[in-house]
Amino acid sequence: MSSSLPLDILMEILRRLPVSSLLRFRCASQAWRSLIASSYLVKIHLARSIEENNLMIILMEKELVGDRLDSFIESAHIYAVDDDKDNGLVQIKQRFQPFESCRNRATRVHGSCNGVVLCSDCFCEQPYMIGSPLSGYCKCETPLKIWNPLTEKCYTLPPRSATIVRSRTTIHGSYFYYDASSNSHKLLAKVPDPVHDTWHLKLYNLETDRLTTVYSLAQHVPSVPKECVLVSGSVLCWTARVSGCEGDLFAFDLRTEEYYGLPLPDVSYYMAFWEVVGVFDGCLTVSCFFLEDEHMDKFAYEIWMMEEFGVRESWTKLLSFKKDYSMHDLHDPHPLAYSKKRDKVLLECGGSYSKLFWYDLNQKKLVEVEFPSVHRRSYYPAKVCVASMVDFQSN
Amino acid sequence: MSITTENNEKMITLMSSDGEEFVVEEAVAAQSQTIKHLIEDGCSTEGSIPLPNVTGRVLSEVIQYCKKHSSSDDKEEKELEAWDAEFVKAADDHVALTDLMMAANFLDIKGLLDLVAQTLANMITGKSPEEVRRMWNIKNDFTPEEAEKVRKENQWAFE
Repeated sequence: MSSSLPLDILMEILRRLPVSSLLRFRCASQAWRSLIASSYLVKIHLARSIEENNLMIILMEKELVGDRLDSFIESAHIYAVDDDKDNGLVQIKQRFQPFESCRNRATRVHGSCNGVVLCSDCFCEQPYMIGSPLSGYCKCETPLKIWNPLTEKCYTLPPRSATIVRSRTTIHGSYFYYDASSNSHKLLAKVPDPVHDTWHLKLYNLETDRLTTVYSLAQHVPSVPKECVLVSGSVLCWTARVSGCEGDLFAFDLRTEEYYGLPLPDVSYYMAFWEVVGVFDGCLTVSCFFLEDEHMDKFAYEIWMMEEFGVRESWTKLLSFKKDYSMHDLHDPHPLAYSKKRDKVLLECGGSYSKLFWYDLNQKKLVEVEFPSVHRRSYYPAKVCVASMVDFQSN
Repeated sequence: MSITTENNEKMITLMSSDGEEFVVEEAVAAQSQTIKHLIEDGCSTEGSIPLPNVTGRVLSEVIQYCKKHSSSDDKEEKELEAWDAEFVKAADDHVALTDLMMAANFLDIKGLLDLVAQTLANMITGKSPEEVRRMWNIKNDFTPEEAEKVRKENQWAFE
């Protein structure tokens, strides 16, 4: 009979546990606590979490305080996918303030990468719109933070980082990603240059605290591409509408500074609007809002994934649904996560505010996600992050 | 000692720490990377392979697993999953599972290691630190103040 656990055996068990269990087991003994904090365990736990697609869904909620419309408190709610629950989600943490957020301060989650999120804590003049990675306006110039919502470990980035994400000077989004070629985390933003009537890409390296500017894309593309996504940690992709209704897909490789076109799925609809909607399950994902024929009442959505980047034949239709006029909240659907059995897809749709739906891949049906405990009415898009024990500072 | 059966299958003898001998087909034994390497290095030609870390009781379970997994191909994945579930259920409790996991680790049988590790992980996911301490005789070496401090750092995980 084994009365003690050898270290390698214990590690094998620990790396398979959810973060909440690990945080609890820090109390088991001094040895367990230091093991759970060790960079080795954090690393293999993250690798497992990525492999198993253990995601957390972060919903920022705004609650009005008193009767003044400009006075509010924001809190975060964190969910994970759980097929056994009625609404397919289990709440991991509820209604907590990420930082010392006080009234009229709001935490913006800009993006996630390797188990941590990039966020800022700022005053917001107005609620911002769904669909873009970072929009809305912020007055303050508080530094950016790398935050692990589960362990609540927080790391404040050097002030230089904030200069590129300050939203008055940044248009439509910043991107937080890991560049494997340089083994570093980076922040990318599209920054206008009104003096010369042009724009640039700014890159901030979190490890070296260096800021670089990429000029070459603006030479090819005179006006800033709005909605972009970053694929495989190095390629910026976006759709541009040419001649009013047709869409084309473009890419810019940040490593080689190569600019090129990508094929869209091979479909022939009467009218189709393509939009990049993100990276889902590791693949570039686009949505298509289309009319099959000239009958204006037959609008539908499709979501396609490019399973092998750059390969036309690898476009695969993930799902499709008709947009009927009773479902007026179904704007800009984008997939967030699979159910554990991978028979459903969690979709977020942005109308006047964000709504979540489960799309059943077998029955091809949409069901809105009910939140029994909270009256959910969020202006902020949901953010998805791999659940991890990562403490960015100790990296 | 190596024997050949009627189907020309080479047999290997494994000896547990408590002296029990098991004669198995080479293909079954070779599910274990450790044994496979021992065979390749010629350690099996002159008698049985001693496994000083594994008792007869545990070894018989390991062999049961290896037999099942060497005779099944990928097509029977569903059936194999169901068999695995029954297999770990039969192992009964965390002590038996820990022994099994240590054997799988020593013998380097990845599938079995994954299976048992996941079973143990599922078993303790919802448990309290006290319950986990009792399972593996872990000594609580925190002072009450320290314990309270560590707990407070992530209070939400205890709710």
